[in-house]
Amino acid sequence: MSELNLKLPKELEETLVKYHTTPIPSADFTAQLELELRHKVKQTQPEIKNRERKSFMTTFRARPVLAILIALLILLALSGVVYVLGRSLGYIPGYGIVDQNVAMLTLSEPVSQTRDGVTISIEEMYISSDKLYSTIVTKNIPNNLVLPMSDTTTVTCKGDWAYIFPDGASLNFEIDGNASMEPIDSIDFDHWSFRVRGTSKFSTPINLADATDVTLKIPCVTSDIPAGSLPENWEFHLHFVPAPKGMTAQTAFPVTEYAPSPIPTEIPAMPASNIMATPEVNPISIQKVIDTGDTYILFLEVNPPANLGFDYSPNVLLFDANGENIFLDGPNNGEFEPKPENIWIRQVKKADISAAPLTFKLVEQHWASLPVSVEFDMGENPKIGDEWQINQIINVNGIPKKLKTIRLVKPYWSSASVRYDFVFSYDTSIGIKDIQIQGIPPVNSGESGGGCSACPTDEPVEISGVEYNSFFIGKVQITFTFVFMDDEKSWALDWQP
Amino acid sequence: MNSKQVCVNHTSFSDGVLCEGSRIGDADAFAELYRRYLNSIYRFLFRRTGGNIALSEDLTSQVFLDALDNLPHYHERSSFAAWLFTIARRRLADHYRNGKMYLLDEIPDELFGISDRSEDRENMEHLKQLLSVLDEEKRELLQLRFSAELSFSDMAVVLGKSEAAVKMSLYRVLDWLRGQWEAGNE
Repeated sequence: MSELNLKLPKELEETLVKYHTTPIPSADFTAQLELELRHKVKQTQPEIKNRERKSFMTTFRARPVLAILIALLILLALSGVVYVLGRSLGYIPGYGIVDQNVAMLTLSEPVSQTRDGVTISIEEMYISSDKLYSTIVTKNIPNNLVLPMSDTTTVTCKGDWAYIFPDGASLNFEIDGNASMEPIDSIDFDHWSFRVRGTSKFSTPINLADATDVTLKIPCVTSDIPAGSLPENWEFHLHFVPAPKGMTAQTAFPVTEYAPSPIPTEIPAMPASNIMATPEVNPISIQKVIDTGDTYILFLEVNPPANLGFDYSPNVLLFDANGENIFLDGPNNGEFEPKPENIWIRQVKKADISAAPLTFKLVEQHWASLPVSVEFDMGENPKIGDEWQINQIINVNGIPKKLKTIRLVKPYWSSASVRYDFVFSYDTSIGIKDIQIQGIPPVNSGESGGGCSACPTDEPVEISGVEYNSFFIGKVQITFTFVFMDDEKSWALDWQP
Repeated sequence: MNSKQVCVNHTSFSDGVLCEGSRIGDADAFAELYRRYLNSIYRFLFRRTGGNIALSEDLTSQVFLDALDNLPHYHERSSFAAWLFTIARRRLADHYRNGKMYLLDEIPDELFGISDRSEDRENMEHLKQLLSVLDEEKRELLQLRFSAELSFSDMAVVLGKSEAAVKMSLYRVLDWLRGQWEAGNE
């Protein structure tokens, strides 16, 4: 409770925590829901389209100059050298990436008004022909005026912000996906103050010469207070001057752009179990890097080669020079939207990097399948709740996989009569693709466990369940189709911060 | 079942990265999000349903299934935790639309995880008495902070208030609890 500067008696704090942190859900419920969620994720998995690719030789024959350029780019990638482009981009948090060479207007000076103790300050504003960038601070809204969410009856202050240009044309100011709102002075318990920083897009490009004097109209300081409880209809007369070239560099973080990635060429089929690094067709490249002081924001271009029977991880892993897996974060707002699907934006804290260079890694694996049948006696009167300890080792391509338990449970989410759960020892190199009893496909199936994060410290398990509309009786043939990894390719890209 | 078995340690990814993976069909990514938040969502709903296990399980399922359905519309303008708890509150509101709210005493003692020590039992009883005096809004603040373990900024998003207002409200509730606790122990 130190964040609140309030010291609670030890017994009260312990009892409060104990009261609120129990119980945890049952293991059965936890596993069943995970089964259902995994099943649902796969049902809704978007179709991955095979991209049409041309071989390097085809390209070479048709466009020799292009082919030479591609070859040069590949050589650049092979040499491990990254080439920085000379554009002048800057990153302003809340605004996103701005081109500092584009003509812009900026506020001649910050503007502020105080009415009845509430202050609104226009701290920063830039206008380009298609966008408006603004930072507006509102201070000292009394907390006792802020309505609780449950209050749906009080009439609140309403109205859109508007910019009125000298010719009378207006632009409604709408906070779009590129806006951030952060509370300030949060130790003041009696007042609410916040900063809104964001961009708005003009519906049609404007002439900057016409936009040097603008009136900003703010009908309400916030819509969370009763109408009339604080001053309304604020007006600010804003004067803009041409922004000096590169002016945003004073407030923007530097954006480093790298040369475009080499175009992937066809990959020769590799013999089984041959793990290789293949920089010449590296599907990962770095497009941009933003240095924010304590973090790097990285724009990765990821173009996995077309399907050769390999599955690729949908995530790029990052390792430092000591081989430590570094936590990768995603951007927490929409300031970089829209972006192409193959651009993955990741953020890494400098403090997490113990040694450079950093290595980005994309893993592709090929999995083969192998059906194995076992016989099992369900007994003459199987019922929900039955559980059999099996502990039978099944040999899967030379790798032992232990079937520990079979249990009969009631399906949670379907109308099926029974769910057969097969509890296996967990092994990252063997998965279960399919289970059929007596050769009959189940009406529903799913699994839990799987994935390294599922490994508990003691005896990790993988549960696969199949649902049927009726019980099986007596001796049955159960066919497990296992999948095991028989080839792996690893793609890596080194980057020196 | 496992058609894709690429072994990635998903614990090293942020919620945002896992959401991205889930959107493109990585079941392990969503499973990791599920494991991260299952206990806190369940505990929050358990408290809010008066310890009704079946209802808590049912609502917990709905929350995660809703989250999965709506993942394409989640754009990370708020944290995943805040978004998930907003769904949980919506599901609760749907359930209690007819006005039935829980009674705190419906939660059986054995589910509080207290030891057999009489002092612990007395403390729990004392706390339960104090909590029963609080209104729903104040109890929810405690639940979001202690059961859900949300940050103040996430609580602010879930409750639709400013972070300062949330801090102030929680401060007042805890200060009141402290005063009552100490008075009761004198």
